[in-house]
Parts: sequence; C-alpha cells; structure tokens
Amino acid sequence: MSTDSSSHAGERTLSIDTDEPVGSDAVRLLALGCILVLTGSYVSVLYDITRVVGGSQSLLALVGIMLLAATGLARLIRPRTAGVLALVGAGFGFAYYLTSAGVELGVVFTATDALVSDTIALATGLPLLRMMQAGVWTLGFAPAPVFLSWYLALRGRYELGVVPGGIALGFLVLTGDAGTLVTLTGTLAAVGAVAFGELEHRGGSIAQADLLAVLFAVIVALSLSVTIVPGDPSGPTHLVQGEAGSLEATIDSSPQRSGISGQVDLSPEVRFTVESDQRSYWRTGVYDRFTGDEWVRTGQSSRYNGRLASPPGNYETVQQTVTAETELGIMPVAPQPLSLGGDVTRETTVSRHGQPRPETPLETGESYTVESADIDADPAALRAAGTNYPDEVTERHLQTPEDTSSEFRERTAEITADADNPYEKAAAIESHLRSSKGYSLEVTQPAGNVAEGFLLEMDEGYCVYFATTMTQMLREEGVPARYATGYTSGQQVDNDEYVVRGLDAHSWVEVYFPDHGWVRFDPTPGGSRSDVHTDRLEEARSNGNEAADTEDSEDVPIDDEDDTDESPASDPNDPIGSPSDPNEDNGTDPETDPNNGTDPDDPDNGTAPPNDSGDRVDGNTSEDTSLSERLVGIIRETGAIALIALVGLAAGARRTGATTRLCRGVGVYWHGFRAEPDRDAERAFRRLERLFAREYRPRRQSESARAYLTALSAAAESETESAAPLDPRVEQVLESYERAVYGGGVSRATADEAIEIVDDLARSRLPILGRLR
Amino acid sequence: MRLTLRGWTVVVVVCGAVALSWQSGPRALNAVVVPLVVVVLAGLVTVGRADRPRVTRRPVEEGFIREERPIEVGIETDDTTAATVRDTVDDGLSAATEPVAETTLEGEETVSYDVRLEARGERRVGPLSITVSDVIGLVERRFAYEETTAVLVYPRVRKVAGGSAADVQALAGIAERRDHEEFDHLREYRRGDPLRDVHWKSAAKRPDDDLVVSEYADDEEGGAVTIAADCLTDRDDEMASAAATVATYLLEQGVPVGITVPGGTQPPGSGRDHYRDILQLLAVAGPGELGERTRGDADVLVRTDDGGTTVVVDGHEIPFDRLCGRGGGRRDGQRRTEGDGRGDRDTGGRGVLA
Repeated sequence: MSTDSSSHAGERTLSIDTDEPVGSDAVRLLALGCILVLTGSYVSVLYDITRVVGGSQSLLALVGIMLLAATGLARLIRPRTAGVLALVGAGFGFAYYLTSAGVELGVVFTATDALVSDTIALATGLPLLRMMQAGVWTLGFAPAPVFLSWYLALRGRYELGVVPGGIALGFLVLTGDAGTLVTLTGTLAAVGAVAFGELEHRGGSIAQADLLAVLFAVIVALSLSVTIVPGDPSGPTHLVQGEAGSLEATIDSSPQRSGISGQVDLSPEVRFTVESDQRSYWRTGVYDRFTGDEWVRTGQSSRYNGRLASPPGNYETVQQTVTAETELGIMPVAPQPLSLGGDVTRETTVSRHGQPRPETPLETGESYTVESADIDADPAALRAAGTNYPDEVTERHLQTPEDTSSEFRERTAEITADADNPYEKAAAIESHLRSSKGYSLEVTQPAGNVAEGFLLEMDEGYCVYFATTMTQMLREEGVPARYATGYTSGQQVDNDEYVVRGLDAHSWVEVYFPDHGWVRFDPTPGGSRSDVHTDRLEEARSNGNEAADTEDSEDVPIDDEDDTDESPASDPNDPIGSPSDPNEDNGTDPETDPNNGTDPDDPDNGTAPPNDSGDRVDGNTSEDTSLSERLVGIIRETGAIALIALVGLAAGARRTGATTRLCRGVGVYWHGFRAEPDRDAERAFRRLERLFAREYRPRRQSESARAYLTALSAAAESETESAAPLDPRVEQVLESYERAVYGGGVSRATADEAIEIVDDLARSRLPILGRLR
Repeated sequence: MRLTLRGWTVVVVVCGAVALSWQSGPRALNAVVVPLVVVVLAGLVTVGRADRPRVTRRPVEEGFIREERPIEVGIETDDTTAATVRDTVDDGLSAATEPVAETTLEGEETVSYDVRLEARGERRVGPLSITVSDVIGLVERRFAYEETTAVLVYPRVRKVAGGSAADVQALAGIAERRDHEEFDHLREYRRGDPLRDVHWKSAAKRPDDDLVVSEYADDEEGGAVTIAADCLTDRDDEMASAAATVATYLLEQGVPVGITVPGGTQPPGSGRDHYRDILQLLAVAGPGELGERTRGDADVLVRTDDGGTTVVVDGHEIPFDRLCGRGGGRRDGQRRTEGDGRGDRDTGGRGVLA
C-alpha cells in the first residue's frame, strides 16, 4: 500500500510556508542522533566510574569498536545473529569480570544464589563504585548494549534499538550511578528515537517535530520540578549525625560514602561517652575508593558473626564501653576492633574493612563493649616492615582517580624524596601537610580532584582535606593507604571516661605495614583545630546548650592547652604509637589501627578535655558550598530549562501559526531592511495591499493590482458617508509597483517615496496612534 | 482507544520504577518516570481528541482475470496524525502489495494499492479500518468503515482461432448469415465498429485520414445471433468462459449478439458498451438450466455438464476445448483455465474492446 506521495508533498509545501519541508533523511539523522545520545548517557555514567578506578581508555575504545562493528555489520548479519553475538559478548564480559574478581567460573552454576543476590543488591541501589572490580565490570557491561542498539538503529528498528540502551541506562539508574540529568537526557533521547523513528517510518515530516519539542519542554520542566516516585531519598535506615552542612553529616553522608564539601559547621552536642583504659580515636567508617570528590567503601557488608579479623602482628587488647548519648547511627570503636559485646551486636553489620555499623540506630543510653587490638608498632619496626603487601591490600588501596595530574605525582615525589621506606614516606607527607597548610573550616571546595586541589593550590583546609590528600599521596608512592572517619578521643572527664561531641568529628589516614596491619597517621595540624573547638564549646556552654554536656562533663573546664599540637607524625613516636594494627593481611577487613590509645601524642589526646582536634571550625558557616558555586549551578540548570522552554514555546507558536501572523502583522507597519529599489517598491505595494485587505477586502486572485485599487476607490466613493476616500498617494505606490514589476524598474528615490507613503498610511491606521493624530 | 504493545511496555516500566523506588529509594527514577508518564498522557490526550477521518472510496474499474486494478481511498483529516490504514480484499482478489499503509494523515490524503483480479464474479474491497496513534505510537484508536466497493471480474475469454478449421467455420457460418442489403447511410468510423463495415471507397476519397463506415437499416434486428448458456454442474466459470469466448468471436465478426444465461438476458446488440454489458452479465452468471424454449430459440447453445462444455452451432456439437484448440484434453483445458487467461483474452477481447 502506498500513499500518494506526490500530492502529499505538494500539500505540505503549500500548507507549511514558513519552513521548507525536510526529507526523511533529516528525520533519520535525528533518530540516529537520539540513539547516540542514549548510548552516550549510559557510557558517560560508566566513564565517570572508570575515571575513578581506571580503564577509561579501554572503555572508550571498546565503545568505539562496538559502534564501528555495528556499522559494518548492520547490513551483513540478521537481527537474530546480532542478538546472539551481543549475548555471547555480554557472557564473555561477565566471565571476564568474574575471573578478574577472583571468582571461579564454575561458581556461576554452583552459586547462582550469591550471584542473584549480588544482582539484586546492585538493582536496589548498590552503586557500581562500591564494587571491587568496578572497572572491569564496566568493560564487560558496555559492549553488548552499545553494539545492539546501534546495530538495530542503523537497520531502522529504532524502537527495538532503544530497548538494550534503555535497559543499560535503567540498570545504572537502579544502581544509583546515573544522576537525574543524565537519566533525563537518556530518557528523552529514547523517547526521541522512537518518535523520530515513527516519523521516518510513516513518512511524516520534521515539521511535526514541533509537537515533540513542546512535549520535551513539558517533560524537562516537570522532571526537574516534580517528584512523583515514592521513597525516602536518603534511605530509611541511615541516620546522619548532625545537621546538613555540619562536618559529621558531610563525612558520613551515606552508609557507604564519605563526602567532601566546602565550608562546614560543628555541633557541640554530645554524641556518646566511652569508658576506655586508653585514649584513642573512635573510628566509625573506613573508605578505600576515592572518586576525586568523595570517598566510597567498596565491597558488601556482612552480618557480625561474633568475631572480627585480627591484625597480623603482635598486639595488646583494649576494652571499651561505648554509651550513646543521643540517637546514634554509627558505632564508634577504637581501631582495630576484635569483637563486640552487647545487645546491639545482633543487629550489626561489618564492612569488609572490619568496621561495624548498627543496622538500626542506637537508642540514647544504649551501650556496647568493644575489644580492640592495640597494635604494637614502633617506628623502627615499621621502617623495617618492607613492602611485601598482600594482594588484597594492594588491589584496593592503591587506587587514584585516573585524571590525577602528573604535577600531583611530582610534588609528592619531591616531598618524599628523602624517604627510603613506606614509613618514612608517610611521616614525611604527614609532617609536610601539618607544617605547610593551615587549619580552617571555611574553605571552598576545589573543582575536580580535591587531593590535588588541596596539595597544589589551597593554603588551608580541615581534616577531610588533610586526610584525603595524604591518602592519595601515599597511594601515588605505592604505599597502601585508606581513609578513616570518626571522632577524636574527646573530652576526658574522668580517669578512663571520655565525652565525645559532634565537634570532635575527624578523619585521618590508615597506612598498611606488612606484618603489622593498619597504622594511623593524622596529617591535620592539631593546635589550631583545638582552638576552634574550644571556642565552639565555650560558646555553646555560655548559650546554655544543655546537649553540649553530660552530667560528668559539665563541671570539667575546657582546657585547650593540650591540644596544642599533635605532633607531627614525623616524630617517630607519635605516629607510631598509633600505628598499627596489623590486621592482617586480609586487607579487607581488619582495620586495625593504631589505637591511639597508644599514643598520647596524638594530638588530641594530649588535649585532654574538650576537644580534640577535630576539624572544626566554628559553626558559623552554615553553607557548604560557596555562593559562586551555587550561582553557577543555578544558572546552568535554569539555563538548560529556560532553553528547552523557549524551544517549546517557539514550537508551540509555530504550530499555531502565531509566528507567521506576527510577521505579517509587523510587516504592515515596518518595511524592514532596504533591498534593491525594485524589490522595495514591490514590497511597499504588498504592505499596502495587506493594509487595505484588513480595511476593505483582500485582492482577489484574478484581480490585477490596478483593478483592485480602482475597485476600492470606486467603492469608497460610492459610500462616502461611511468610508474615507482612498488617499490619492496610493496611486503613486501603485505606479512605482507597476514600473518595478512590469516596467523598467524604479529609482531609489521613487522606491523610498513609496515606502514612506505606505509607512504613513499604515501609521495613520494604527489603532491608538492613528487616533491621536 | 487502547495502549499498543509499546504503550504497555512503557506502563510496565513506569510501574516497575515506582515499585523499585518505593522499595529501595528513588535514585534518579523520577527522571525516568516523569517523562514516560507525560508521554503516555500526551498520547492519551492527542489520540482521545482525534476526530474520525472521513473516508471516500473511489470506484474500481472492472476487468479481466489477472489484470491489476488500483484501489484508491481518499482520507481527509483535520489534524496531522500518524495512522495505519488497513483494508481488506475479498476472495477472488489478491492484493499485489499488502493493503496496509503506515502513514501520516495530513489534510487530504490518498492511500492506494493494487489488487489483482483472480476469479470471475463480483468481488468486494473493504471494509477499511484506520488506526490513529500518537506521535510515539503508545496509544491507538481504531476507526472502522463498513463501506465496501465492488470490483467486477469478467470471465475468461479464450482464443477461437486455435481450434480446428471446421469448428471455427461452423461458428463463422452463423456470422455469415447476416445480410447487409439495406444500406442506410455513411457515417464516421467509431471505435468498436467492425472493419468489414468500413466503406473503403468513400474513405479513400476523403482528404483526411478518417474512415467511413456504412450504416445499415435494422442493424439490431436483422442478423442478430443469440446465445443461450446454461450449466448443470457447479462449473459455471467454464460455462461463462465459453459463452464469453463465443460472444467475443461473433462480435469481432461484426455480428450483433444477444445472450441468455440462467438469471439474466442481454438483448442483441453490438459495440463496446454492449460487449461490456455481456461481460458483466457473464461475470455474475451462476449455474442453472434454461428452459427448453429459450434453448430452442438460441442460435448458439453453450452447455456445461458433467461431460464438459459443449458449444452447439447449427446442430454441430463442438467441445469447447476443441474449439479453442486444446484437443479436448480436460486436464489440459483446466490447467489453461487456471494458468493462462491473459494470453487468450489479449487476442480474444481486444478487437471489440479496443
């Protein structure tokens, strides 16, 4: 069956006079473009991942090869063959991933349960960045949908081509890796591909795309402003300490991530108290993957089973009892925990790094006990520890974002030039950061890689910046390191009792030493930080904030002295003390760290009471992003929305023919830019014609210009009472028109004169202005 | 109005996304759900507001078996809509191209396709349905049009010249009986006039190239031949074919021919329109037996019974297959009946129809 295409095209040309019809080629290009955008949307999500974990070039190369292959094979193989190819490709990718993740392929058949549960974990929001082999996963994931969707699109099966792309994007949305803008772009592209495919298929013209433009404008406006899906964005079980914008909320932004932001606030409220023989940092989180602007914990957590992994070397054990003083979504422990006691342990999950976390928040007053390993590591031993790292440790704790600059590498190499072993490198970096950077909570987060920005450009920062930068520098030097968050030891209110407040929130670095385990280093300068803390606490006390103290702590004066400073790691002693816990080799779990209990030297401890050096600055700063950053964000977003809204409006106007009417309407009153005299004379007459058409009647097709005007003036004369006679100057316009069109042309002056007459006539007929004259 | 497969897919995706969002957090699912919901709603609204397209069927020219005829349907809409136009054709017709057009309706549109005429009789084209869908194809609505158009398919006309000389001669003898004494006047040649009536002498004298034919008085009455055809079995196609073949031959010879079949009679006449009338009659003729008297009055008798079809001329019984040069082989004849109508008709019918 065919449609009568010639009459079709003819009509279209007639009915759409403002834009020339564009053939199905343009529609096809648009449909293909939409498929490419859809592909780009999920590849960009994957690319964001590989930029962190490495493999961007392989990913892009793979995608390019797939596009080329699909282009080449589009006409050569049948869809079924292509589908089989894509499935086989996906199977290979999956097998490759499993192999490199250290899983036997046989497991696919024997442990389907585990694989299914992993898949469900991903689909329920486990970000890909938390996968240990995320890079390999992306390489296995990308080719099949890219190939299949491009292949189908080239064969004109756009609606089928959208399917593999849509599934790929949908999966990334489910894992939570695809952001709103990327998702929206992908969804629109998918809708566009189907729509343009329909247009091409049905021989529609691009002129119909205006409906789509209106639709898209509505979609964009609604998607960004209206939320219709249910569900709590932050997840039901995650309790964040402190308010948004506080340091605590930032470093514990979600169960598996630790954010980095600009300016932060400190809360003076008491979080928990600890009874412990030894002073220590109270660790609440360990993170191993750095994305450039946040920390991510990879690997799945498991239920606490009564025992945590122990460090590889010698250690003494330390007992603590932790009591929550407010609702607590975290489980502070002195690194490295060996076992837990108390009711809460029945609902505790343990990360692969050995850090426990309650499944439901602890109630106020609830307590638990912890047995921790206090790693016996003195500098001499650490210096001699060597670099014989277990594979599990190096695989996960040497990661740096792919775009880390060589400048960062060089600067790090410079700083550690004199160091011969990992311990000395760590000490050198620690002391460099402590001495070269100031402490301030009021900083602006640098764009891009935070570690790089801090080392190379910033002069001050707080614990997050120091710890992040040191971790990355160590990794650049090949020393396995990870990022730990938690609290400093807090205010010592009794011999063995510590009160820990929100302003004690802190982050630091753990470095792995073979045969010892994870040893704590703290590059944050302690002195200035504790000043800030003390001020904040005093202010809270003077404001009568009752939450800032427990019964035991309220009478204890704050002394800041001690904070003074944390000695640089450089000293052998201090860091050391702290160092290590050797947990074992399974790098995975154990995080032992040095409890500081060991060291008095830690900054904080020294400090007794009140605060440790958390980072903190006063609380005044509430905004976490700087104004300018926000402005840029706002402008970018609203700009995009406004642009789409404009396009939609324009399309809507075009659909209703408003533009044409507007042009016509304006054209009566404004001649426009001058052209050749002949053209101008002609245009002047056309305007006159339109003017009269409005006032009297349009010129008939069969009527010549002169006959029309004569008829008009005859009609005007016959009923002089009602209508004014035609202006005699009309004759002049007519004459110049006739000479321009049929005669030998007109001079510039004549044309101008005609234009002027028409201008005058038009103006005198302006609804309001004309009446004034 | 209902959702297409594509529409249901979208609904399932939306429901799945909402369920997953409710189960394990919204993530960016809003950016999936909102666009899809908007698209479906827009589809429902545009399709719901679509007006019923107005359909005009153009008449279809009748023709012989194996000829192709264009079927044209004019469709008029107020808005531009994507639509699938689906037509149906009767048995006895086959669509050369699938009678389905996926197109965009915009103002006045003509949808056309070709059908091939496969079997004698009055065949119908239609009914038609137009399925209107939104720009993305998620929602569709079906408009049905019961109106149909008739296509008349003539019986097969075979070539007589291939038969044995005696048989042809017998048939020709009938034509010879006609006399032309009563010359009436000369007139200009018109399409369909037998060449034997051309008055060559007068034609040669005329300065332009026009031919002149002689017109005879009582042309219609005098030498007309009547054919009676009936069919005692259900092979009425064969009967119609035989009658049409004989009538065509006689008309080509310039003899006015009248015909009677069970259920209809066409009085004697000649010319193109008359020939068409005869074919139309034969196109719809069914089995049946004529009365003894009608058969007795006829100059030529065509009868189809279990033994085949015979043509009786002046007492000669000529098997129809033999008349057409097919040696009486029934199977052969049948094969030809099914396989090769055009060749016969080209040589048989052209002289009269041209």
